[in-house]
Amino acid sequence: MPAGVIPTAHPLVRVLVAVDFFLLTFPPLGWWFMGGGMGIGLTYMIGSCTFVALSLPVMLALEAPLDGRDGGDKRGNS
Amino acid sequence: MNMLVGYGGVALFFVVIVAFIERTSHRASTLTDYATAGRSFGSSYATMAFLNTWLPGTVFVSFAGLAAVSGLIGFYLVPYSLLAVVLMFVLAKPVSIWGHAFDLRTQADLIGVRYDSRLVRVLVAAIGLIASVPWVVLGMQSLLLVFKYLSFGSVGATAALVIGVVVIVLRQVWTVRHGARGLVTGDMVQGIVAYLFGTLLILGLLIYLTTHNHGFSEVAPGMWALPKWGSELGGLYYFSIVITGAMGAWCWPDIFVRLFSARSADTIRRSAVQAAPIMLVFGTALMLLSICASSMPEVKAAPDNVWFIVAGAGGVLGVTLAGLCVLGGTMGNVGGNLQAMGTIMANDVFAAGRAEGTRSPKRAMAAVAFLTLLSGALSLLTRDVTSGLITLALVSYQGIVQIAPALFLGIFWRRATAAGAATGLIGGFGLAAYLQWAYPLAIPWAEGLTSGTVALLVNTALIVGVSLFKPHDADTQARVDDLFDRVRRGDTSAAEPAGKLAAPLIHTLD
Repeated sequence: MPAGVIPTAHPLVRVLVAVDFFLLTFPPLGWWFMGGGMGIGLTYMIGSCTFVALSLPVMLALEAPLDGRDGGDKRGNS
Repeated sequence: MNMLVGYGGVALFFVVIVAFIERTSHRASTLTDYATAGRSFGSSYATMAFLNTWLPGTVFVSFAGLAAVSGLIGFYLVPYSLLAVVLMFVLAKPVSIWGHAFDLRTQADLIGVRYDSRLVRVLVAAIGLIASVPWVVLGMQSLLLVFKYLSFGSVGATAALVIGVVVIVLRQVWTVRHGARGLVTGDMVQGIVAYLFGTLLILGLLIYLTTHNHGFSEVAPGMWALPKWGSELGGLYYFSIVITGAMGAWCWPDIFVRLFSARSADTIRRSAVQAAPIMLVFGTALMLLSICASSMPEVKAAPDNVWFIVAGAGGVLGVTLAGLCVLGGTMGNVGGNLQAMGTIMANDVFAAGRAEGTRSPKRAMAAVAFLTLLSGALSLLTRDVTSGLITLALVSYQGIVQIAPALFLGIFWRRATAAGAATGLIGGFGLAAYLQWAYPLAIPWAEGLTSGTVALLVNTALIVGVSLFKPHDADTQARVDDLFDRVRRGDTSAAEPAGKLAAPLIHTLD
């Protein structure tokens, strides 16, 4: 971990966050996929966004055991 | 008769929202309660509050219109919204812990505690206030289309604008009265209509389009491509607007304050998990609908009307439901903005110190009421210069994203200093304003990067450079270390900021 950065996340959560940003903002990836017509363009766009959406429950599962003191949602949804 | 259905639908929707707020909310007794609803909401409410603030009614109008004109570029709404949700997940723990511990009510509050700097706090508050005004005005003006279409030809554009502004101003009576609590409970009803019923309507209309000669194969091939390297718009333009959109998300005061109304870090994380699939399905469906509808001659002539033109396939009921979706989105966004702006005025600009949080929220209520009336008047007065307002709104986006380096480095890098943050904020905002004036769309010599992105890079370099060149003294570093260690320990116990923040910022009115 770089000096000065707080350990706010499980190491795998950091990897997932980096992968999410890479998938959606790395220009060569977008140019390659979204220059090949409708099929491949839509598959990349929807596929990469679906990956990011699905990465979040995985992050939650990784983080939850680290934050047992947090209280969570156990008191319902006022 | 058609108009009766359209306007009657709006009246019924309004009554349901107000009844729900009155049934579930109570008056706030302190400024903290008014600003954060006592940090009491669970993940379902927090999710819908975030969505209803994040996705304004204009997603059905200008964002859909952009997709109808530009194809996949317009799709950028979905990637940048999802990355904003990822950042929400990452921010959850430090923001929630510091929010509980130091009784934080606004984004500027958090920045103030982190940097212990009045200058940085006021800069963030001022940028947030200035940048939000054009969006509130534009949000109110976007209802013109709703009340024009729902009148089915009986009401002209000016009258529709007046009706729209009156309705949205009237809705703010409950924002003023109940603050964040009324806002969040109202968001639940508005959000269900705008994004859940809205998604069902979109899917039905998408099926209609694809089975009536407006399917994917009818879309012009160029709509499925992004600008390549060396193209006129620039190869980096698309990625630039995704990055500024995601980073800028948490710079908006109305979005950030939603984090403070959630019960805990875990609640915020669960909200992120719940919001992502809704955003994915809703955003993807709306963008695909708009792209498919681009082959309709009526949409080519008026792309911003694409939502209502396609909804016309569902007859009077279809158009009415489409109007309610836009109205629901607009109510949440405008209300969120006004409440956040009012709280900033009471908490960060005309603050009377930390003890203010235990006092009456009257000053914040008055500020929200004043801003509502001011925005309503501006909406009517500027009806002929809407294109100028849109330009101002775009400029404001490039400006507000300049808060991001101070915010994120402040939260995740303990060496970031107040001097670095102030230098970055001033330098970044000034550079963004100049570049936006010189290159309104994209910077040709930077391969299509927007003014905000270039300024963001300079801003970050300034914060890092100044912080490394002139680091914290030992006392300040110890104070910052304590803040970060609090997050490490998960310690939400109440505390007073160790620095100068108990003092008033600009004025003491009491």
